[in-house]
Amino acid sequence: MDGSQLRDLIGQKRPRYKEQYKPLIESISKKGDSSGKGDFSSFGAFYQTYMYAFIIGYKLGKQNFIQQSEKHNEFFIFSQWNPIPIRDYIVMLLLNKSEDFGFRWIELEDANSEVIEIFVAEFIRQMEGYANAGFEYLQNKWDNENMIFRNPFVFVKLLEELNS
Amino acid sequence: MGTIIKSVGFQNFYNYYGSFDENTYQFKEGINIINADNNMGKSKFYNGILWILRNRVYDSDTRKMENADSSYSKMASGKAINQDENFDMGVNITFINDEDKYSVSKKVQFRKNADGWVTNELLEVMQTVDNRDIPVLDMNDKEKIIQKIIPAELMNYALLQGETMEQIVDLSSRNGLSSTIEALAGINNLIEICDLSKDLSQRTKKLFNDKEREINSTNKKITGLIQERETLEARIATTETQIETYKTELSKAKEKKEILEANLMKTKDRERFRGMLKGFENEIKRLKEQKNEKEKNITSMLFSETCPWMLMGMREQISIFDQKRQELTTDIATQKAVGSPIVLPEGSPDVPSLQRMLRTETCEVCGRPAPKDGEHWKHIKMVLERPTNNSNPNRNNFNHFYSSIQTAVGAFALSIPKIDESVLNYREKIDELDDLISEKEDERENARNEFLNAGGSEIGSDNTDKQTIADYTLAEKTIDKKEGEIKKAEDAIKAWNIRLNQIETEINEIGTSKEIDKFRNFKETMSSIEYIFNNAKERIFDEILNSLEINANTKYQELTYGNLSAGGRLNFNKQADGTVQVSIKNVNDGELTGLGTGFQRMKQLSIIMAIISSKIGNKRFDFPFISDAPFSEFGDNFINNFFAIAPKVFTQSIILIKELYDPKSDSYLNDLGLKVLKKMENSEIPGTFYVNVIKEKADTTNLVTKNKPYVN
Repeated sequence: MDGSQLRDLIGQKRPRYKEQYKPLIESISKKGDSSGKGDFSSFGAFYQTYMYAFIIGYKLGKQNFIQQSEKHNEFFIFSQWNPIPIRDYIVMLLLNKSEDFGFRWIELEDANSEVIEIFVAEFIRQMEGYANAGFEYLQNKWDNENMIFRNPFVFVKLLEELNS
Repeated sequence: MGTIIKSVGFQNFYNYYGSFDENTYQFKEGINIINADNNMGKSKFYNGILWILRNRVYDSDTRKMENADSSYSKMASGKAINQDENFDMGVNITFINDEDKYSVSKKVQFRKNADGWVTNELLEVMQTVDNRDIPVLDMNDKEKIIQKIIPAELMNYALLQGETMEQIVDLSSRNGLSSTIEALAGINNLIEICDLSKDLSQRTKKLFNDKEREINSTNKKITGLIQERETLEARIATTETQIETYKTELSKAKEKKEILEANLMKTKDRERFRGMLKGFENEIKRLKEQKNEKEKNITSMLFSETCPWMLMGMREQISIFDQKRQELTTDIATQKAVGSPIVLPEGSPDVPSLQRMLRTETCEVCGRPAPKDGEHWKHIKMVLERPTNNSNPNRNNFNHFYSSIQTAVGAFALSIPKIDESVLNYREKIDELDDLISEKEDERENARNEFLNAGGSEIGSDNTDKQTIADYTLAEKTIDKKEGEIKKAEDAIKAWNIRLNQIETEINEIGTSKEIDKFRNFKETMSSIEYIFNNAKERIFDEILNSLEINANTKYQELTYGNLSAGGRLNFNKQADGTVQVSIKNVNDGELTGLGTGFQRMKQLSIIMAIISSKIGNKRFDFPFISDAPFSEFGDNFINNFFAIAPKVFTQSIILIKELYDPKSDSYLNDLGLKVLKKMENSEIPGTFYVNVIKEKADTTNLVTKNKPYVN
């Protein structure tokens, strides 16, 4: 298997999020009201909200995996997410941690297709873990510090808080 | 005779929240300045004076004078009303008139009941005699004492609001002019004598006519001529009355034109400020849209392909990835190195030979001994154990995948360290837009105030301005028409007078008598008396006018002294209809045009000063001059000049202005304000100096003004 085949395998996946975060995602992903001037700061596309939540979870170093019994929804297939360099940055971040979830790069070079499938599934599960942890963090802010979302810089401030 | 106001105090009156003690201004002879920005109580102060003197207040919402008793809820302090407890609202003026001291207070008690507020008005007047305050109880006496502050006939000159200054001295109005001259010269008796002599002259004329007809009753020729004369005289009388009517109409049209001329200037100002307002509003809208766009763009900046803010602080991950790629390369190389077969040259020993050589400790290739664990023995062992060719033919190759990712994110290695700076710059740009918006909003507010000062209304006044222009055109047409009618009537009278002279000659030629001569002499004597008194009246009128012209020009030169553009000379031109037109002439005696509202107001102020400082007979204006925003169209030079000459003209003046105010300065004074204050502190300018301040920001209904006395 070559690199483009692996990219395709990952790209065909639809990362999932817990159903409980759907209202939050909808609230912070709309482009304001119909006049384009909403009360809250918001993202343009749902998958961008997902990418942002992933970064939050990654910075927190926390994961919140979807349990089998938990209701969940799927996102758009990963290969369609934009911008591509940021999508690749997320892939890079997960590859940097692949050993932590049981896959050394050198072993992947020798792995058969079944192992690669398992790797890809785990890769996406890890992504979901970080993103849902990010959603959990945002949900907590939304529920308890709702006013901060009136500040247009809220999503920058949240990142700054986690950096400091 | 005259008045000096010693103090003006307020209690819960508009912005002046609190007791009289907290809101009292002490005044002296000279100039008393109350310097305040917009909405800081200048016009409210002026309304306090109007309430006491005229029982009226100027309503800034309706832009009209209103009866005070229908405006109490607006006049009361918003803060006092909001506190929902009983309170009193009031204004107090203490003053000295001909060495007697008085205190006048108007108060309204606000009492709360189930239906809301109930009000009760009180008027308290006290006279201080031998240091004892004695209440004045009779209502007529109270009114007379209020009149002592400023008499009704002088209020037009003593109470001045910047906006209405153009309409104060209406020399173009016959009534306005004659009342001004009469006030200055005290020629009421002379006017009465003129009217009496005219009446007597007409009576003697009638008497003479009757006598002449009686004596010549048999002479048909003479009775015919007398009849014609009487008809002509009746026509002349009717036409003269008609001319008077035309002159009155002409005067009204001129008065209207003059007022509209002032309004026309304001119309132009309004148009200018309306344009500025629109400009600022568009600018603010554009800036707000820019800001809104920038704010909406913040989330896009998180995903920027060149400098994605979302990756702030994650630069090291690229290095980690790079390191992992290098490790993979090393691992693959090692694996290859370990896994690749060593191919021996042809004729080399096979495996069993090598095993034997180790056992016998002898190299069969060179025939020399190879002791166990020695260098040659180890070499034979290595050759025996060399790797065989067993590599995986289905090996993956993800290098291209990793490489493409590294290429995609590589540029971020440089941009991630710049994210903090990029966020900071972006914030600064939004802050700059915020600053610009508030700067433009301040400018818009100033333009709005100027627009309102120029008589603009929040509710579109475009139509009113159009009406002003239409009225002005109509007034001009009426003036032309009435002047034409007057000329035509005067020409007719002239022709009739020629015929009358002819009739007189014809009658004399036919015959006369001693008795008729006696009545003729009587008639002519009365006519001469009428002429003499009228002439005296005209002469006095002209003298006063001449004196006014000289005096007004002196004031005008003093007020415009040092101005870069020459203000010209005031020219008083007596019109055929008995009115006076004041125009501004240049050095060549031509009409000086293009002067701004400031110069026009100076013209009016000069005339007011001339009237007030005229010392005709024993009359001299000696009452306080109280003016709200007189300088709204003037520059620093004029204001300086005003402060220099006003004490010479007015014994006491109270000036409410904003031109010395600077909200950004600790002292609330601009450079000019500081200069004036210094002159007052050095007693170069006599008087007092107050600055109004608002300590807590609030909406207009809840403002609280406090005064800071700098010189008192």
